[in-house]
Amino acid sequence: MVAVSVDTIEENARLAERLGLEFPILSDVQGNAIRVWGVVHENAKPGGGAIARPAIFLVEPDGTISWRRLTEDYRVRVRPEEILGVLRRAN
Amino acid sequence: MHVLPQHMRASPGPINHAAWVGPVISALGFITYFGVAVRFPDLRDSAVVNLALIVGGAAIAGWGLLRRRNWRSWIGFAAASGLALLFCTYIFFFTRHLPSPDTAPVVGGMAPPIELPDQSGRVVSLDGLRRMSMLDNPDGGRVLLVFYRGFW
Repeated sequence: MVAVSVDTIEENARLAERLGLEFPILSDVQGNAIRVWGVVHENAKPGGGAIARPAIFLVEPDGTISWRRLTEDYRVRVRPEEILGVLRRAN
Repeated sequence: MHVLPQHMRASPGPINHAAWVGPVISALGFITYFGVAVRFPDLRDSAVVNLALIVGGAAIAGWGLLRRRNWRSWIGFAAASGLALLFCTYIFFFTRHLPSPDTAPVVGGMAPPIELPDQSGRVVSLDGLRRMSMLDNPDGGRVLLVFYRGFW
Protein backbone atom coordinates (compact mmCIF):
# COMPACT_ATOMS: atom_id res chain seq x y z
CA MET A 1 0.00 0.00 0.00
CA VAL A 2 1.20 3.47 -0.87
CA ALA A 3 -0.43 6.89 -0.41
CA VAL A 4 0.08 10.06 -2.48
CA SER A 5 -0.88 13.69 -1.77
CA VAL A 6 0.46 17.19 -2.43
CA ASP A 7 1.68 17.56 1.18
CA THR A 8 5.40 18.13 1.83
CA ILE A 9 7.81 15.43 3.06
CA GLU A 10 7.85 17.11 6.51
CA GLU A 11 4.04 17.11 6.76
CA ASN A 12 3.95 13.45 5.73
CA ALA A 13 6.66 12.59 8.29
CA ARG A 14 4.58 14.24 11.04
CA LEU A 15 1.43 12.47 9.87
CA ALA A 16 3.17 9.07 9.76
CA GLU A 17 4.56 9.57 13.24
CA ARG A 18 1.29 10.82 14.73
CA LEU A 19 -0.76 7.95 13.29
CA GLY A 20 2.02 5.32 13.45
CA LEU A 21 1.84 4.64 9.69
CA GLU A 22 4.45 2.27 8.29
CA PHE A 23 3.58 2.36 4.59
CA PRO A 24 5.16 4.96 2.26
CA ILE A 25 3.36 8.31 2.02
CA LEU A 26 4.61 10.03 -1.13
CA SER A 27 4.91 13.76 -1.48
CA ASP A 28 3.78 15.15 -4.86
CA VAL A 29 4.13 18.87 -4.09
CA GLN A 30 4.14 19.81 -7.81
CA GLY A 31 1.15 17.56 -8.50
CA ASN A 32 2.94 15.82 -11.41
CA ALA A 33 1.93 12.24 -10.59
CA ILE A 34 -1.56 13.41 -9.68
CA ARG A 35 -1.91 15.01 -13.15
CA VAL A 36 -0.42 12.00 -14.98
CA TRP A 37 -2.93 9.77 -13.17
CA GLY A 38 -5.83 12.06 -14.11
CA VAL A 39 -6.95 12.52 -10.51
CA VAL A 40 -6.20 16.22 -10.20
CA HIS A 41 -8.66 18.65 -8.64
CA GLU A 42 -7.45 22.10 -9.73
CA ASN A 43 -7.85 25.14 -7.44
CA ALA A 44 -9.31 23.02 -4.64
CA LYS A 45 -6.67 24.02 -2.11
CA PRO A 46 -7.64 27.08 -0.08
CA GLY A 47 -5.75 29.97 -1.65
CA GLY A 48 -5.43 28.13 -4.96
CA GLY A 49 -3.42 25.15 -6.10
CA ALA A 50 -4.11 21.64 -7.26
CA ILE A 51 -4.72 18.66 -4.98
CA ALA A 52 -5.70 15.04 -5.60
CA ARG A 53 -9.30 13.95 -5.59
CA PRO A 54 -9.78 10.90 -3.37
CA ALA A 55 -9.00 7.91 -5.62
CA ILE A 56 -7.82 4.33 -5.12
CA PHE A 57 -6.24 1.97 -7.67
CA LEU A 58 -5.17 -1.66 -7.33
CA VAL A 59 -2.07 -2.26 -9.49
CA GLU A 60 -1.30 -5.87 -10.47
CA PRO A 61 2.22 -7.37 -10.61
CA ASP A 62 2.26 -6.89 -14.42
CA GLY A 63 1.49 -3.17 -14.01
CA THR A 64 -2.16 -3.28 -15.09
CA ILE A 65 -4.98 -1.82 -13.05
CA SER A 66 -7.46 -4.40 -11.77
CA TRP A 67 -9.74 -2.19 -9.65
CA ARG A 68 -10.31 1.51 -9.05
CA ARG A 69 -12.64 3.80 -7.15
CA LEU A 70 -12.98 7.49 -8.03
CA THR A 71 -15.54 9.12 -5.83
CA GLU A 72 -18.14 11.48 -7.31
CA ASP A 73 -18.39 13.34 -3.99
CA TYR A 74 -15.23 14.02 -2.04
CA ARG A 75 -17.09 13.71 1.28
CA VAL A 76 -17.84 10.09 0.39
CA ARG A 77 -14.77 7.83 0.41
CA VAL A 78 -14.23 4.13 -0.14
CA ARG A 79 -14.65 2.21 3.12
CA PRO A 80 -11.77 0.04 4.38
CA GLU A 81 -14.13 -3.00 4.40
CA GLU A 82 -14.72 -2.64 0.65
CA ILE A 83 -10.97 -2.45 -0.05
CA LEU A 84 -10.25 -5.49 2.15
CA GLY A 85 -12.99 -7.41 0.32
CA VAL A 86 -11.40 -6.59 -3.06
CA LEU A 87 -7.94 -7.66 -1.83
CA ARG A 88 -9.33 -10.91 -0.39
CA ARG A 89 -11.00 -11.77 -3.70
CA ALA A 90 -7.81 -10.86 -5.62
CA ASN A 91 -5.69 -13.34 -3.62
CA MET B 1 -53.28 61.32 27.23
CA HIS B 2 -53.87 59.23 24.16
CA VAL B 3 -53.72 55.49 24.86
CA LEU B 4 -53.50 52.81 22.17
CA PRO B 5 -56.31 50.27 22.21
CA GLN B 6 -55.35 46.93 23.83
CA HIS B 7 -54.92 44.95 20.59
CA MET B 8 -52.42 47.49 19.17
CA ARG B 9 -50.11 47.52 22.17
CA ALA B 10 -47.00 45.32 22.07
CA SER B 11 -47.84 42.62 24.56
CA PRO B 12 -44.91 41.29 26.61
CA GLY B 13 -46.50 37.81 26.62
CA PRO B 14 -44.54 34.57 27.04
CA ILE B 15 -41.05 34.41 25.52
CA ASN B 16 -41.06 33.18 21.92
CA HIS B 17 -38.76 30.18 22.50
CA ALA B 18 -38.93 28.95 18.90
CA ALA B 19 -37.09 32.09 17.76
CA TRP B 20 -33.91 31.09 19.61
CA VAL B 21 -34.29 27.28 19.89
CA GLY B 22 -34.47 26.97 16.07
CA PRO B 23 -31.16 28.69 15.29
CA VAL B 24 -29.44 26.91 18.22
CA ILE B 25 -30.48 23.49 16.84
CA SER B 26 -29.35 24.51 13.34
CA ALA B 27 -25.99 25.71 14.67
CA LEU B 28 -25.51 22.47 16.64
CA GLY B 29 -26.27 20.42 13.53
CA PHE B 30 -23.80 22.49 11.50
CA ILE B 31 -20.96 22.43 14.02
CA THR B 32 -21.31 18.74 14.89
CA TYR B 33 -21.12 17.77 11.21
CA PHE B 34 -17.60 19.17 10.84
CA GLY B 35 -16.57 18.48 14.45
CA VAL B 36 -17.99 15.00 15.03
CA ALA B 37 -19.78 13.39 12.08
CA VAL B 38 -16.80 13.61 9.70
CA ARG B 39 -15.03 11.02 11.89
CA PHE B 40 -17.83 8.49 11.47
CA PRO B 41 -18.27 7.34 7.84
CA ASP B 42 -21.96 6.47 8.28
CA LEU B 43 -22.83 9.91 9.64
CA ARG B 44 -20.48 11.69 7.23
CA ASP B 45 -21.47 10.06 3.94
CA SER B 46 -25.24 10.52 4.05
CA ALA B 47 -25.18 13.58 6.37
CA VAL B 48 -28.87 12.87 7.00
CA VAL B 49 -28.74 13.35 10.80
CA ASN B 50 -27.09 16.75 10.56
CA LEU B 51 -29.24 17.80 7.62
CA ALA B 52 -32.36 16.99 9.66
CA LEU B 53 -31.09 19.03 12.62
CA ILE B 54 -30.18 22.04 10.49
CA VAL B 55 -33.35 22.08 8.37
CA GLY B 56 -35.49 21.21 11.42
CA GLY B 57 -33.98 24.15 13.31
CA ALA B 58 -34.83 26.45 10.41
CA ALA B 59 -38.42 25.12 10.41
CA ILE B 60 -38.74 25.80 14.15
CA ALA B 61 -37.37 29.32 13.62
CA GLY B 62 -39.88 29.80 10.78
CA TRP B 63 -42.70 28.72 13.08
CA GLY B 64 -41.44 31.20 15.69
CA LEU B 65 -41.57 33.92 13.06
CA LEU B 66 -45.14 33.05 12.15
CA ARG B 67 -46.15 33.25 15.81
CA ARG B 68 -44.49 36.60 16.48
CA ARG B 69 -43.16 38.88 13.76
CA ASN B 70 -40.59 40.91 15.63
CA TRP B 71 -36.91 41.57 14.94
CA ARG B 72 -35.79 38.72 17.22
CA SER B 73 -37.84 36.19 15.26
CA TRP B 74 -36.53 37.58 11.97
CA ILE B 75 -32.90 37.31 13.11
CA GLY B 76 -33.46 33.76 14.38
CA PHE B 77 -35.09 32.70 11.14
CA ALA B 78 -32.43 34.39 8.98
CA ALA B 79 -29.62 32.68 10.94
CA ALA B 80 -31.16 29.19 10.85
CA SER B 81 -32.26 29.32 7.22
CA GLY B 82 -28.88 30.78 6.22
CA LEU B 83 -27.12 27.80 7.83
CA ALA B 84 -29.54 25.40 6.12
CA LEU B 85 -28.85 26.98 2.72
CA LEU B 86 -25.08 26.93 3.30
CA PHE B 87 -25.09 23.27 4.38
CA CYS B 88 -27.29 22.14 1.48
CA THR B 89 -25.03 23.97 -0.99
CA TYR B 90 -22.00 22.27 0.59
CA ILE B 91 -23.30 18.68 0.57
CA PHE B 92 -25.40 18.77 -2.63
CA PHE B 93 -23.19 20.93 -4.85
CA PHE B 94 -19.77 21.90 -3.52
CA THR B 95 -18.34 18.48 -2.60
CA ARG B 96 -19.82 16.92 -5.76
CA HIS B 97 -18.25 19.49 -8.03
CA LEU B 98 -15.27 17.36 -9.08
CA PRO B 99 -13.54 17.42 -12.48
CA SER B 100 -14.37 14.63 -14.90
CA PRO B 101 -11.93 11.70 -14.43
CA ASP B 102 -11.62 11.07 -18.20
CA THR B 103 -7.83 10.88 -18.18
CA ALA B 104 -7.53 8.53 -15.18
CA PRO B 105 -6.33 5.02 -16.14
CA VAL B 106 -9.18 2.55 -16.46
CA VAL B 107 -9.41 -1.05 -15.24
CA GLY B 108 -7.34 -3.20 -17.61
CA GLY B 109 -5.12 -0.27 -18.55
CA MET B 110 -1.46 0.22 -17.62
CA ALA B 111 -0.50 2.08 -14.44
CA PRO B 112 1.53 5.22 -15.28
CA PRO B 113 4.91 5.33 -13.49
CA ILE B 114 5.33 7.16 -10.19
CA GLU B 115 8.60 8.32 -8.64
CA LEU B 116 8.26 10.51 -5.54
CA PRO B 117 9.91 11.01 -2.14
CA ASP B 118 8.36 9.24 0.85
CA GLN B 119 8.07 10.63 4.41
CA SER B 120 11.79 10.00 5.06
CA GLY B 121 12.83 11.75 1.82
CA ARG B 122 13.78 8.48 0.09
CA VAL B 123 12.63 8.34 -3.54
CA VAL B 124 10.14 5.53 -4.08
CA SER B 125 8.86 4.25 -7.42
CA LEU B 126 5.72 2.28 -8.18
CA ASP B 127 7.82 -0.35 -10.01
CA GLY B 128 10.09 -0.65 -6.98
CA LEU B 129 7.11 -1.12 -4.67
CA ARG B 130 5.70 -3.84 -6.93
CA ARG B 131 9.03 -5.68 -6.88
CA MET B 132 9.27 -5.24 -3.09
CA SER B 133 5.82 -6.61 -2.48
CA MET B 134 6.71 -9.52 -4.80
CA LEU B 135 9.62 -10.35 -2.45
CA ASP B 136 7.28 -10.28 0.56
CA ASN B 137 4.83 -12.58 -1.15
CA PRO B 138 5.66 -14.36 -4.43
CA ASP B 139 1.96 -14.57 -5.30
CA GLY B 140 1.44 -10.91 -4.47
CA GLY B 141 3.28 -8.07 -6.11
CA ARG B 142 0.14 -5.99 -6.01
CA VAL B 143 0.19 -2.36 -4.93
CA LEU B 144 -2.80 -0.49 -3.55
CA LEU B 145 -2.34 3.14 -4.58
CA VAL B 146 -4.28 5.71 -2.54
CA PHE B 147 -4.55 9.34 -3.67
CA TYR B 148 -5.93 11.66 -1.01
CA ARG B 149 -6.57 15.36 -0.65
CA GLY B 150 -3.92 15.91 2.01
CA PHE B 151 -3.75 18.02 5.12
CA TRP B 152 -1.84 20.98 3.61
